[in-house]
Amino acid sequence: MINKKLLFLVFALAKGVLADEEDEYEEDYNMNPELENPGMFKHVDWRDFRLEFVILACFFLYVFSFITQKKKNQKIASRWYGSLQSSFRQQFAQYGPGPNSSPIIYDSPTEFSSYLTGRLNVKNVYTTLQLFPRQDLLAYSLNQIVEILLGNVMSSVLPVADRFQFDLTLADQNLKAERFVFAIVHKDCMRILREIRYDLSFTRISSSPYLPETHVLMSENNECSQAIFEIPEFMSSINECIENLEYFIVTDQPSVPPATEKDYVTKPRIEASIRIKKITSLSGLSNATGSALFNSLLLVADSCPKFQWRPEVSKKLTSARKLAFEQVVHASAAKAAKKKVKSSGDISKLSESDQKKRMERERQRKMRRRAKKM
Amino acid sequence: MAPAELKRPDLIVPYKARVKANEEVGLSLVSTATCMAALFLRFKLIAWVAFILTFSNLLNANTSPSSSPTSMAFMGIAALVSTYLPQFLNTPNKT
Repeated sequence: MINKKLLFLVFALAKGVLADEEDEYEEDYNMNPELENPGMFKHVDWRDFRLEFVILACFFLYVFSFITQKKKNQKIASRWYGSLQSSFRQQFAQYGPGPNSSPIIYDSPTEFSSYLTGRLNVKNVYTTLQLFPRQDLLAYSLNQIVEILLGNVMSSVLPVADRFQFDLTLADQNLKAERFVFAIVHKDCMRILREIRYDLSFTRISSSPYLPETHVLMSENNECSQAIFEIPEFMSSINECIENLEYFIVTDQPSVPPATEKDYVTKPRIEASIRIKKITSLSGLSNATGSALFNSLLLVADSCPKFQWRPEVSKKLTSARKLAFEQVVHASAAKAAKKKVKSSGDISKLSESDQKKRMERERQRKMRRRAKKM
Repeated sequence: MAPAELKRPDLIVPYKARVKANEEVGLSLVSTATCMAALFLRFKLIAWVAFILTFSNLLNANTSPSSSPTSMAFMGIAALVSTYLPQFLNTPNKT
């Protein structure tokens, strides 16, 4: 109601300002402006700024919309986390960054995260509620346009939407437990996740009778998949939130492709994300899918220490990781060797034409780097 | 297991904020280019667009805003002022 009234008021004001002036002055003589206004400032009238008034009205409307929609996002976040609070506190000793602080961490107008810790088999959990940028559709559309134009430079990410993400790290006491990569991925997200995630490169894509047609199974080994699917109550929990599930990944590999040996840090964890359906009203917010996903995470976390594979399966998993590590080491060593060769290359020994070619190449490389930095 | 047995206050790990990459490169680029264009070309429409874009950047800044959105807002205001100065000031006649 308030929004509509203000909208009508703004447009009525704009229309009034733009109305044609019907009064006409009759000038009997020509006035010399310099004689009338010898000062520094020109004589201006408010009628000279009709366009500016319209622009300012739209600008204030934009600011007002920003503030109201930002508050709406905050309400959605508090409602969502409030509905999940009981199950969070039931399972974890600490909910939030500290015992005496608010459990919801305000990252940005569209991201609200939280922190859970203090539980058996789990080290900590980061949750992130990512909301659509309702408060600023202008910036969103501009970002979309820029990404389309510079599509080769920007990295691909999941489309912007309302979603809720978990990042659960298993306890350190499970370091000796068997490690594997397992994922349930929605088909719409599969291509993007395969591009941006390193750990999914260990897996093979297949369909599974346990999953509907909208989702695919990406697993490193069939025995691992079977073990997870046979966890009691896991399938019932997953089926409750399968409609909105984007991905459910159990992994120990880094999600970002490692460039050097130091980046290759293996950490057993579970990452999951669900898409929140269109939020028409705050009271209609449903946390059933969030709770179901949360239960699924805990079931897998509690079952991971008990997993045991056959010796041949363990060998496959271990050898795959050794091979990956060797590849990383080899790649970084190759890069270092290339650098040495380039730096030690002696230009004076080359012929005249080769020197020119090399200088030209270096000049082009610099131009490309500058373009990329922009 | 009973739920009470799973809660372990002794296993609490202190909170550590995660660093996130900056994803506003595109909008900043457009804003900067528009501000520069407005300052040099002095078109009213470009000046207003620059102003709105820089203000949008300022609004979208995080809870602890860095200096860049504020300085960009100043640049937007400077572009607007620069464009409208000739309309308010008298220019001396050359004759």
